Amino acid sequence: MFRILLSHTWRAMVRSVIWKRSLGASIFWGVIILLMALNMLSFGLFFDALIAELYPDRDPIQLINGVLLYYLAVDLLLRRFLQRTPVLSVKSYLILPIRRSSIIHFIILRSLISLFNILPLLILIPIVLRVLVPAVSPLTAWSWFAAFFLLMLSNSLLHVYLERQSLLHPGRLILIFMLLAAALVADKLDLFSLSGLSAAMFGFLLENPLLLSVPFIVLILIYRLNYLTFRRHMYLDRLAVRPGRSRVSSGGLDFLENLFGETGMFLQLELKLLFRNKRTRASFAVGIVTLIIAPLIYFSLSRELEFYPRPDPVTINRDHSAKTSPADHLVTFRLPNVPLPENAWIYITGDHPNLTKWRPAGIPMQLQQDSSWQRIIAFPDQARIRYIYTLGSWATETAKGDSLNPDTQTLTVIRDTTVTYADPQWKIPRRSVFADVMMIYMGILLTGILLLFYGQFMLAWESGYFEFLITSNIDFKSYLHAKYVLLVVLGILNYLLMLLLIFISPVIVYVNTALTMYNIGVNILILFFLVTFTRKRLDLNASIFGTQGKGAAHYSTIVPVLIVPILIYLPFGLKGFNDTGIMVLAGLGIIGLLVKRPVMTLILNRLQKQKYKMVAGFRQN
Amino acid sequence: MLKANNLKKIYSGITVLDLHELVIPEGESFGLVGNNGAGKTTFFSLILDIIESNTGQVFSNDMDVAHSDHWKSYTGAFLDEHFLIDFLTPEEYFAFVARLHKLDSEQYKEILAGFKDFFNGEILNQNKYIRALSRGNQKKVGIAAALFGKPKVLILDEPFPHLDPTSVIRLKHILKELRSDVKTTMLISSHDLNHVTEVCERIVILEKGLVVHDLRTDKTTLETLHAYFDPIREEGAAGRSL
Repeated sequence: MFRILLSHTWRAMVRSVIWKRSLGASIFWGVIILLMALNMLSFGLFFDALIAELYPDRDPIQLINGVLLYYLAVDLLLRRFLQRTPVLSVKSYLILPIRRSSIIHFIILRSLISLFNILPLLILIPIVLRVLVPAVSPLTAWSWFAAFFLLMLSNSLLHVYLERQSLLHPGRLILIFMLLAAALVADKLDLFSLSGLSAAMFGFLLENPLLLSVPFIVLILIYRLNYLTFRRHMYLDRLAVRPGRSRVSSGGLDFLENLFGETGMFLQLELKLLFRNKRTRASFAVGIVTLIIAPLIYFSLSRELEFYPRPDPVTINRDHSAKTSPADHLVTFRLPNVPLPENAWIYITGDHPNLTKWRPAGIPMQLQQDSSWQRIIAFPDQARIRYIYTLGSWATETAKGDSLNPDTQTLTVIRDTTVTYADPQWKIPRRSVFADVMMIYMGILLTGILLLFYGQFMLAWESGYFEFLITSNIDFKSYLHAKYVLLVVLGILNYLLMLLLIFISPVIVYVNTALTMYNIGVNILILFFLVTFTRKRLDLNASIFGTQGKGAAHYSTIVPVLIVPILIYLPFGLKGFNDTGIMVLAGLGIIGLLVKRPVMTLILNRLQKQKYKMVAGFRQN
Repeated sequence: MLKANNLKKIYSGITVLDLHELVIPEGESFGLVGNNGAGKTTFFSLILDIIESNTGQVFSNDMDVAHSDHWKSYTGAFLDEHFLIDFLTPEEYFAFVARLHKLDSEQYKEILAGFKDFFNGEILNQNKYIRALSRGNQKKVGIAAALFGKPKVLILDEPFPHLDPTSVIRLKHILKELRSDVKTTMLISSHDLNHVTEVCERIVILEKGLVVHDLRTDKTTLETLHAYFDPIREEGAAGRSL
């Protein structure tokens, strides 16, 4: 019986609309998924190298263990928005002579087959293979893996259970998000470490593999809980998820109409569209989640932007003067008391392995009591070394005189010596073009994510009642204006949330301010223009991951919205006028705001002509 | 009031509508019948400027519907569920429509009171979104919205299916009232020959896009329609030609 039900599920999946897309779209999605899988796989494969690079002093296993509890929490939250357990499809099976228990087991087990449970394996298995197995015994490593996998499945089932309890009201979830963010902050500030707890828990597990039985028991318990819940509710009227949904969120928005007249009325409609439909809500939620993760994404970029990194005490105090053989010699590198930019630290780096092979923040110098800088490093006899001093990045290396040529020194080590470098000329750092392009790319996406998510499907959202709109006595100019206003508000909201990044680097905030202006001024107008190419219907209550409604036009939004600002910046950046390039983008944003009226008129005219094609497209299934 | 002039619509080489000239005077209740694919919905869509004609025009009050928006202010229509904003409650939807017709809250309440019988207590104060209503009730919302503001032109595409018997009778009552009070020009298509003969004073039969009959409704019309749609009958050759 189970096998038959499984084959039905398989057929339902394979025959679903997802596969009926055009060949081009199928290839596109295939490539995307492949890329994503490859990304995750390579992340797992190179995880150990990554950790060694970022946190050379931390135990990778401990790091992973620390993250696990966070992962489970975020996983549960994401599932709330992105994973639905389809139960109503069993309607047709209920009246057939199939044992109820079979159906229930089937529903629960089927819910386990989800990307949420499969994709993380791509990261996890390589990590187990490369990090854990060498460190602890294979048996321990795999039981650690099994434990976590079981916990993940428990999470999955917990989600199924919570779905039926309508506890996961969006409002409460935002609260939980805040709690999680607070936990993260508390962690960073060492106030209360959830990661510490997590590391301790899973570390304990590693030492006692028999504790594997705990997650196993947890899984069984949650499974049983689900089984009992379903058995009680195995009736059509009780199977439907969230009976509490009949609670209607009513007005309270009427003030908009009073304030802004007709535009306000349409704005009210837009807001209801946004918050009362599953798909728009999910888009919005994904946007917010991405914004919360944004600091993590920017964190890696901040290293490119940090011109004067400060080393942590461990690396300062680390001794490099230990001789590995009696023939080695000690070289004392000295710099006299030199003026430095605030908070800067001097590093030495060079081609020799003992000099870290040209890592820009290779070995921090040690500040002496007389304010001079010194570092003693051991080298093998006859070593020929090349070295240079930096302030932590290549942008701040020492240069010869006023030129931009690096002032690399050479030395052949034949005995213990002291070399003094006087009067260093530090290069004045400039942001690299690469850093800027990365900031623009990420910044446009992140400062605009809310308005991009909503704006790219403008009018496609209304595809269900588009015919009503074009036959009613609606002043389309006001109607579009209301959308414009909503997008601007989303852009500003987005920006305010991004301001938190100031803790990572003020440069990011400055760039993002310019990018927000560009997004609000220019990209919104581009979105409106692209909207006139909408042809595909969108089901407001479908899953956010369907390809429904995404035609070729939709994919091509990406290019003008993301790539154009980079192309505008490049000529300035490559010539060294980074900031001018950023300012140009801000300026274009302002111009966009000024020309909004005539541009919207043009778009409206275009819409009048395109509406037949849109209707025809929306009517098709 | 409405005039179709050389109106043709062609899909993939097939002519789905071909009207040389069709005039619907003001105040007429016009019924449209035909089998599936006859062109009824196409015709209504062209009148509402939802689709583009290949040749010809539709004039509403002497203005080409494709080149002017004026007709929107006096035309009410309900074709199918694409005319409902399903994430609104019925009250919100009606309020929206009322606002579009520039009705004040007094008139709005008055109109809703007029629908009390038709709604039968199942539409208002349900605390539900339109998408949560039954199909029949959704239809009632759409029809009521089309009737808001007492339009001069009313277009209903198959309004009767899914309505319960009481609602059907009440709808017919409302339509008859509109006919006598406001002199609304009504265009109604239906698959139910009984309903359409009861409500409409003129009935046009479409077949594959062409007008095959244009009748004034009288006592014999129902018989005539039955005969047309069921050519194999007991007595004699009561075939397609009448």
